[in-house]
Amino acid sequence: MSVELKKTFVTSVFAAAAVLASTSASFAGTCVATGGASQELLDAARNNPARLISSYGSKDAMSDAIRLLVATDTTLAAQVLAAASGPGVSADQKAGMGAGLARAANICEPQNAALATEIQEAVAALAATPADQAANRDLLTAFNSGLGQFATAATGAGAGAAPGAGAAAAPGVTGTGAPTGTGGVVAGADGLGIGQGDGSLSTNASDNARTINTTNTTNTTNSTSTFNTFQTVVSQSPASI
Amino acid sequence: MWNGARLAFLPLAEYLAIGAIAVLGLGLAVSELQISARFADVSLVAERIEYGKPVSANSVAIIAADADEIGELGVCRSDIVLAGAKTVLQRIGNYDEATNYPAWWSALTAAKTYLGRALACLPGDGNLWLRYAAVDSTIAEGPEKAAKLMAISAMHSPADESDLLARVYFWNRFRPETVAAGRDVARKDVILAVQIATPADVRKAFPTVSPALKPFVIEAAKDISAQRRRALLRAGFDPDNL
Repeated sequence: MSVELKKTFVTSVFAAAAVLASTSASFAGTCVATGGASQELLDAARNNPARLISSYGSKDAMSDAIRLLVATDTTLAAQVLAAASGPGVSADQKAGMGAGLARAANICEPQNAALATEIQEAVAALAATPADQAANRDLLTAFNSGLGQFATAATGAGAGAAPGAGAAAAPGVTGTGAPTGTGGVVAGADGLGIGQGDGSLSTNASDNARTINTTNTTNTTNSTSTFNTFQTVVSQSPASI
Repeated sequence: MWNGARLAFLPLAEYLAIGAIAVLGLGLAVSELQISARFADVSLVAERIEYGKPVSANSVAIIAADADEIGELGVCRSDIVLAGAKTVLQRIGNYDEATNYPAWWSALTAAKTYLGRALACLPGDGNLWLRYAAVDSTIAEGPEKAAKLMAISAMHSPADESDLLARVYFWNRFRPETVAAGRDVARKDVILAVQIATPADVRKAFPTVSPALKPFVIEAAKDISAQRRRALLRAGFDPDNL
């Protein structure tokens, strides 16, 4: 075997090993290469899901923590959902869990869509029947809303085409608005400031395919992004203050 | 004798009282001036934002950090509080979840904290309630809570055109479950907007009418005059063809 051939063989072996390693890492269920949740937190969540409620009492803290926990180990989605169905969980806390799960799925989506889908399917199981949907309304609403926010940001919908924004000037009250898109891109004045400029992403129902269907008993999740421009306009729209 | 002593004493007491009031007034004036001076940059940047003048993301970040102190210090002057609100909300737009989650999240939660304090100062401001609803729902949209916050906004400013249109804008973006939870308020807002708001602004509030709001728009369209319908159509909003 020539030296050149040996080199090629060795390179191929290493490449294959690298691919296998990355594949196995993916199947291990993590979407965070670095900066994930600590092993201690992961173990705590895994061994005692109810502690998620006591440890992260507020909606905001819960959403943030669950995002990182589940993105670090997507199998924890099941624990989170179990905790959500436990006794004494407030509507606010359920919403926080839903938003956290959505954001974990958002992290996974670009690098490992299968894991994102796993999270979505786990949540979709909560919407199996109308009764389930009603019981889990807060979690499901926050989940679907959270998926949409990211899609907008990721696609840059807010930039330029942003729902007009900013300082949205109310008619006759505050003058012209100053729409700024995600990332601070100034998009030009937009009068009222709460409209969308040309080219902005639609918000109609047909865009909501990535969300979990809670209007009938068929649960659908697919990878089409939701283009809900809500997140990008919080800072931008009704700015008559 | 007693009367004479009283007469002699009273002018001095009056002088002292007037002096004390003057010192107090001066103290308050100085304090107000100090607050104005301390947050002058916040007011200036808020004004630039409001009038659509460009403000760099960096400036917004710096000034919004200043504005955070408005709440922390418990300053309760509407001009300062509202200017601060504008900058902390603008700061959210500097970031997005996809590319800089920590900064985005920090801006979002700081805005929520700020607005919570602002509402303690100005509980009757419908626009602040609306913004609080929007920020809170971005963190995690809970139908009942969002609907309740929107209802409080509507209660405080039921027909202020800017607040009304802003509410419609957000109703249009909320999940159907949230619209269902706030059905009565959403319906009233939509009908009022379609019937009386400036047509061009109605179009902007409804870039695309969400399925959850369509029934309300259809209902509103039944009662508008031919003239109003023409005005809406001219503005690009066709309530009969959603």
